[in-house]
Amino acid sequence: MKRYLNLYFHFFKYNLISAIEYKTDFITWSLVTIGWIAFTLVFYQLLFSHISNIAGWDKAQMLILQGFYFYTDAVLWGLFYKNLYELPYKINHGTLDLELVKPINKQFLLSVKKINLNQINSLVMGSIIIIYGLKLGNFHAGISDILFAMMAFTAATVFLYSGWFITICLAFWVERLDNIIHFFPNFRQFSKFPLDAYQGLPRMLLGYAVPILLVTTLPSQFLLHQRQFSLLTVFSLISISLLIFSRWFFNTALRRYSSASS
Amino acid sequence: MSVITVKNLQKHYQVHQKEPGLVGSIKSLFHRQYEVVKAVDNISFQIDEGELIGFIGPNGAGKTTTLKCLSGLLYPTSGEVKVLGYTPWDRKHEFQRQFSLVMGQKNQLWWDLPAMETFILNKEIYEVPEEKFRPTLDKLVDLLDVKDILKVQVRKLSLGQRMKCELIAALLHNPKVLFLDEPTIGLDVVMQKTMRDFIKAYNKEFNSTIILTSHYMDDVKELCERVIIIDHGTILFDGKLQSVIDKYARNKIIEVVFGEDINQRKLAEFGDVKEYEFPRARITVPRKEAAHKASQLLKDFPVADLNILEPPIEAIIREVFTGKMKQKSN
Repeated sequence: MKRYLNLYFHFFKYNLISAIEYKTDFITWSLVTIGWIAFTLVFYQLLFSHISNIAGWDKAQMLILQGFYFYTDAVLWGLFYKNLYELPYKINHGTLDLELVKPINKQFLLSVKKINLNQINSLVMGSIIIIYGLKLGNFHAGISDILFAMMAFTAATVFLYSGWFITICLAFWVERLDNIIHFFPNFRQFSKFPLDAYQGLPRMLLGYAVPILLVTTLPSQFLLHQRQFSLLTVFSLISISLLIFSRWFFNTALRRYSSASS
Repeated sequence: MSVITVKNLQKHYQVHQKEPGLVGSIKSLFHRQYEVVKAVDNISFQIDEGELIGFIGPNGAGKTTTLKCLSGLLYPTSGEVKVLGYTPWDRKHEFQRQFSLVMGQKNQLWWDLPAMETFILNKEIYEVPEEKFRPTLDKLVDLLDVKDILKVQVRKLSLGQRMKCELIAALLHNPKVLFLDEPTIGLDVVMQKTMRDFIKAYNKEFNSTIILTSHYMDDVKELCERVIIIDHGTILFDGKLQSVIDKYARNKIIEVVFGEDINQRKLAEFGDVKEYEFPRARITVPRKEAAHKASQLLKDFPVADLNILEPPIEAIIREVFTGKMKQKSN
């Protein structure tokens, strides 16, 4: 574990050096991220000038939910996007070779080597929006609320990463699958709305079978004093199971790697 | 002691066949035709500790596929491979710590950072202790003469400088087995020579087992006593480089310097005149008749000097691949 933390520290350091080297790119990306967040907030402002709630969630609660959605942006685009974006290309062009011969967990190496540091903006903006939502709704989140919300969000991160990684691994079976990278992040858009907004079959599917809705709903509920411990336990178990499955799936998929000729 | 053992290794691929053009593409949507390509077809060999083997073959012969099976990147269709006692495609970390793969066309250095940062990262990945890392690094830096470029961003280095740094990154953990896949590709002749000298020195210093693939015969001639010639996935020859000449060279070259101008037509009766520009001529003659032809030349012409030469190894191997020699050996 210590070795992997140490390696992650090195990856972080190298990505920071690269980000400083290409500061214009860093600034441009930061502006795009901030612009995208601002656009979303204007949308909510406009929406709540006409309605008072969405499935019982008022503006303050929806802002908190949205804050967690920005957190998922930070995690997916910041920690994994660059790595997973390159993976289908590497599989197709045989450039995984020099990574697969390293004495290290290959899934770790291929998933976290590159970090998109400009996504720190999503993290900061998400935090500001959550704090603003808490103030607006007059919610008082204590230390334990924050800790449980963090636990729920950690489970969400594991769930999102594992699901995304599994879909990317399909590229081992298909000659070219460039767009697969966008499938899971787009699927995540369902979680822009709370679980309560969905009824019937969609609620069963997206809330419990493939619980993408819990990614934002569950951490928000802990901050809003609607503690769902049993749901947190189930969600954590699902996420860990998915992570284990992703590891098995990746190792199975590696047998398909044909390493295009040099 | 055998470090590498390969028994009946096969690697077959199913490759999609498509007729050219749009019609072909549409047809392939409904009815896909596949062909089995035998990239490696039932090869066997053994390599002992400290050997430096040249793996020669034309493009698509199966050299790189074999190296990829040996380094565990590919699962074979069938066969058995042991490298340092491990089955490579199990990808055990203990095994991966003991070998290295260098590919002339692929790189592991971080593009935006100085090469030194990749070296430090590899130290962590391969868990090289500090007291071993520094002396090894110093020795490699010294051998390759790259002290001045260690702090320069990789993207600002020349191809040759990058290749030197790639080699260092691959060798910092002192691998017992080294797979070099065209390490001199694209380099100028001076840099090729530097790399060859380094590989030779490294092999001697660390007694490492090395398999080298290269299209440059100079690499093979200078470095490898033993060569494995592979084509269409099968081994055509495995033995000493000198034996390739003994086995496959059917001709010798007689190089003559004449004392005065001669009748070229008469000279052609002795063999295939490859070159004639007074006073020099080069004639290819059947190997077995070389001595006899030479003595006849001395008798019939005003010869100032005469040499009997082996044909260049490049030419012999080219003939092996073009199939002429294969027919002969059958």
